[in-house]
Amino acid sequence: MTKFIKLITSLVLLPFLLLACGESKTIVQQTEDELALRQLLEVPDHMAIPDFPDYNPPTQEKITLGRHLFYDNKLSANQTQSCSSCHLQSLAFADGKKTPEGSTGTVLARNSQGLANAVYHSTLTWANNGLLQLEEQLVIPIRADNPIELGVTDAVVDEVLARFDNDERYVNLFNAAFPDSDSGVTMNKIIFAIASFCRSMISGNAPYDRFINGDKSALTEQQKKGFALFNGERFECFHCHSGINFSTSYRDFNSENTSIKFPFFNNGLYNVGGLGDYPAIDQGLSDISLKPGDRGKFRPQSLRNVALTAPYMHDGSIETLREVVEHYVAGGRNIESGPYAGDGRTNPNKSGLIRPFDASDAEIDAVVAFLESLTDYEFINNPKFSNPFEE
Amino acid sequence: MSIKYFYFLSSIFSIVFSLNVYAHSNLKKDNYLLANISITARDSSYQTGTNQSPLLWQVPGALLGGEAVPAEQGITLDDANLQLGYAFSQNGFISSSLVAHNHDAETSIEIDNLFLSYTFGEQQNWNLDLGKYSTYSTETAVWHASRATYSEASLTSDLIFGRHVSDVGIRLIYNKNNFDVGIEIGNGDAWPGSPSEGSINLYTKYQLEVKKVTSSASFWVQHAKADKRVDTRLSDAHNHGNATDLNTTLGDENPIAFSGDTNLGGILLDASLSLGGVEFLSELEWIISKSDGELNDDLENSAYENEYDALRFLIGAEINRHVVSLQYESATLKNIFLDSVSPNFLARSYLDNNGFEPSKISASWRWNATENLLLRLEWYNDKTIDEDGEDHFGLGVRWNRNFAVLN
Repeated sequence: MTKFIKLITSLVLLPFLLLACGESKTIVQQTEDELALRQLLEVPDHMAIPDFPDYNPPTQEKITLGRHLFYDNKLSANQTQSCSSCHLQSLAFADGKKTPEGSTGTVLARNSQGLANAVYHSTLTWANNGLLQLEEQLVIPIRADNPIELGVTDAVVDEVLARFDNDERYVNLFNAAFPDSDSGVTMNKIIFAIASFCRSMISGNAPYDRFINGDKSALTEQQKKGFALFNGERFECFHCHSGINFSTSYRDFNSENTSIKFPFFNNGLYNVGGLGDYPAIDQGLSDISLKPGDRGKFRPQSLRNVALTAPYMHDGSIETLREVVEHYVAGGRNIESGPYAGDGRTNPNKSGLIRPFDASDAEIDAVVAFLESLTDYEFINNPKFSNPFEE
Repeated sequence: MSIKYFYFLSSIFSIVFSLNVYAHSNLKKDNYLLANISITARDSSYQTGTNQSPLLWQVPGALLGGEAVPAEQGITLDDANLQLGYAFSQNGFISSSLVAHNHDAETSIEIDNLFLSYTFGEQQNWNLDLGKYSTYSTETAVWHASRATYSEASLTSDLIFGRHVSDVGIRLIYNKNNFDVGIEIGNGDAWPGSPSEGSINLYTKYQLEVKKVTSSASFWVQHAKADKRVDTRLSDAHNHGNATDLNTTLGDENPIAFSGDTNLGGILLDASLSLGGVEFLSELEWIISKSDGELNDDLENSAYENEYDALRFLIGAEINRHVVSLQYESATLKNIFLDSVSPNFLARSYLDNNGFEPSKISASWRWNATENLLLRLEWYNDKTIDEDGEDHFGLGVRWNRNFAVLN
């Protein structure tokens, strides 16, 4: 009996001893490369490292070169514009215009997007499901001939490259950025460098960020109310504007190709002729996919710094943030007269998430106030994104 | 503590306990029609009202799910249970169980068990079950207030099994004098698996008597696979909660899902000693669960591993119609994200526990007032959410009755 009691006692005590050896913990592993990337791009701790293609890992030298190129008019054929002509740091790299003009005066069809956190979008531009990396997108504003933006067409590309090849400052910058290459300045190098610079444009220090990091006084009571409405089942903003970048179009360093979403939505902005059309100049995703059902579908934009990026929508046709919220409260827009007359609320391609609902003025104001809490003043004043030629 | 070491120790325990046993009740085929009801009034509930969703209980560092809903304040129907067992032939038996739960003022009813059982072999020591069954591996995996010692589910049961393992599949049991050994191969419906992904469970049970000591030991291992398993405890409520308390802009629309394998193993030892009209009771249970897979939502994902160690220890004494018991439970929860997820994702997963080890002490005095009626006064020290914890009381009634023996 004594032996049995000893045995039982041992069995009882052993697991306690074993359990005492363990301890609760949560580990988020980061490789040295990941830590270096986080440091290089100055990614805030509460955001994931952005994705980049294997063929163009970011380096400080590429970012520095890209910053110079971004602000240099020499990158346009007629030397009148640079990327910064339509992407102003003070406006979170939007331009405040309904739609911008290219370097030859052509008025473009789409509103200039802010570039903050552009790298976190799974697709780039307003409505193209084939542009997945900044390196692919940058070809369009630099090289396209219809419409012309910077206008570096095949006819003038050698001339433009020569401008940089003949500038000692740029020779040094290119050599530093691409030390293993002796091919001089190439369009690929230009694009890779600007992409690296844009990839570093990470905005994550708005009042909202301070709030989610524990500073409960970072948002006003009105903004907190707006936050709740934003995530509520009436306003339902979060269905399209979710996650750390406030867009379901999202990708980061860890994203698996099989799990990345490529969302595009018709939000009832137009219904020309009552048949689901948008203005002929821009039918959204349908212009790429050629599918009638894709008419009026555009990517859900990040709402980071949205208070600075007016006017809104793909064509800049809504002036203020409040009007945008009112648009969604109404379930779309009814244009009663003019060439684009039609009731967007009944657009057959409109997303099922866009439905009219009741909201008080105070509630709309609260949502607007919350959206204003996404403005990152450190980002728009950060010298590392500023014009290097003005230093 | 590696799981291999755990299995090694478990094997030793199993050998030690396979000394002298008698037949196990798994193969018992008496007809029955049982009704069980448990109702409890609690003065407070620590597990509600403190998280993202007012009724969603989250243990920091644990992937919870299944039916592990929080204990509620006020008077609540813990569960009601109707069990039917009927021998329709010499070898054939049907077993069924209907369960009603109450949560958040809503009552749900479900079929807990419905399976056909066939006994065969020269000594009738083989048994085959087919249908929906609750696992035989450990009672901790099949918790019902109306049948359990306490009105609140054990922390171990909630952490490891989502409170209740009931699966559709096939079970084969072999019984030989002193032990049962069984294998369950199921669809994987129950936590920690997910439907159609499959689950396999192997268990052994031994019982032994030495003079005035009655004891038993069981050992089990389980493998479950999950594909995009999410916490659906409150999915019907479609509640995005108080969004300003969230470290996120996402609600339940974008839950974090686990895909991968979970391997579990456990030992349950119990012993009772009769001395001078008092029956002393003790139980010791130790479970390890390891998961290896991926966590993802619509936006982010990460390779992920976890290891949960859970310990449950109960002592008690029974005098006449009165039973007092004390149960202590504790767990260590290790989580490893193999990719550098954003803190936002980490916060939404509730897996960042800063070294927190949940624990729970349950004490009760139970009085078998009549043959069918049991009253219980309970005290809980609940540290399942944070170190501060909370004490609360419960006063409950449990009613059981065997209505008929069907012949």
